[in-house]
Amino acid sequence: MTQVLFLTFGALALAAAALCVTRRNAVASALWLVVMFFGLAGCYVLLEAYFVAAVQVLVYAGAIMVLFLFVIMLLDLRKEAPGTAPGVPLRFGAVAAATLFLVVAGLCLVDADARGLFPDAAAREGLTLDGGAYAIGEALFTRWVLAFEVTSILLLGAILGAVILTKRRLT
Amino acid sequence: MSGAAGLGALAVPVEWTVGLGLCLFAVGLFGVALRRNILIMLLCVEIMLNAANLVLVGFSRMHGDLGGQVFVFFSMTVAAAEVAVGLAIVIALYRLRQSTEVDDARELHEVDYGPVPRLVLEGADAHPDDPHADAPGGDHGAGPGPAGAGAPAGAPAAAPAGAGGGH
Repeated sequence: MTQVLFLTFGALALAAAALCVTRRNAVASALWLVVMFFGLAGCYVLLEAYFVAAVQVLVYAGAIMVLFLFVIMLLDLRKEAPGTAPGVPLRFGAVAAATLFLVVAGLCLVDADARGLFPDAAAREGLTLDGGAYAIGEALFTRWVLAFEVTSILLLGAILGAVILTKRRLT
Repeated sequence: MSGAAGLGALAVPVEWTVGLGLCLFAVGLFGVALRRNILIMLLCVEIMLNAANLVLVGFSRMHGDLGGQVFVFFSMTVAAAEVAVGLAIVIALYRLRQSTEVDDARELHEVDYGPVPRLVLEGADAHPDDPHADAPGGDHGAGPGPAGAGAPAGAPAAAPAGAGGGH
């Protein structure tokens, strides 16, 4: 049951990502990306990362996509400018790049599988992982507290950068 | 909350998680290489970041270590910061060129496109012939891939930041 649901959500996320990439309408692309976020959130639930799934919906599908849609509608990009469709060399290059990545990374995956780097389900029978908010919070504020603080500096820098970039005049 | 005990044999294999992450990353890479709209390219970067997050969660589960899931939160924070700055760059570029196509942002050298937002601190000399705009761009005109796409987005960011931090 878990595996069937994982395949379903994974196929949903993959199809939504493909649709997001290929839509000519920017708003449609953004909305398909929201579908992909929800599909991935389902995958996270099935991987027992419950808090990550909740944050995926709240932060990605909620906050980040609202920002994207706001900018798309602010710039009024519903219709793509004429004459900007990708040419044949660009299409060929994009397909070649994606295929090359998929082949190389897939070969790495097969090789790692053949070496037995991925323990099978029976081997990890005893492993339990609590992905709830309590356990995540404890790990975040004990083991990873320095990285957490550095992240706040990063966000401050992002805020300052966004303000400076969008201001017309800073005198 | 702790449903891991009974899952054992029915649990999702790590290979599936990594494979799905690889496919999603390839789709995102395809989009970044194909699309010429900066906003769509940023959306595709989000797809790639999410693929990495999925693989992190899968390996976190395989090792029984919460570190991977914590890193997903840091990755989400970096994505949020990237979106904030990236969209600010897109808006600043749209003000200059009335377009969000990367092909319209090929020339990054000093051309008079009207008032450019620039940070000028009080009492500092402004260095009017500062060649800061050429530095991150480099040889950007030839490649249609991600390298050529990164250069137009990077250079407008460097211009105000360099003027603000250096003087």
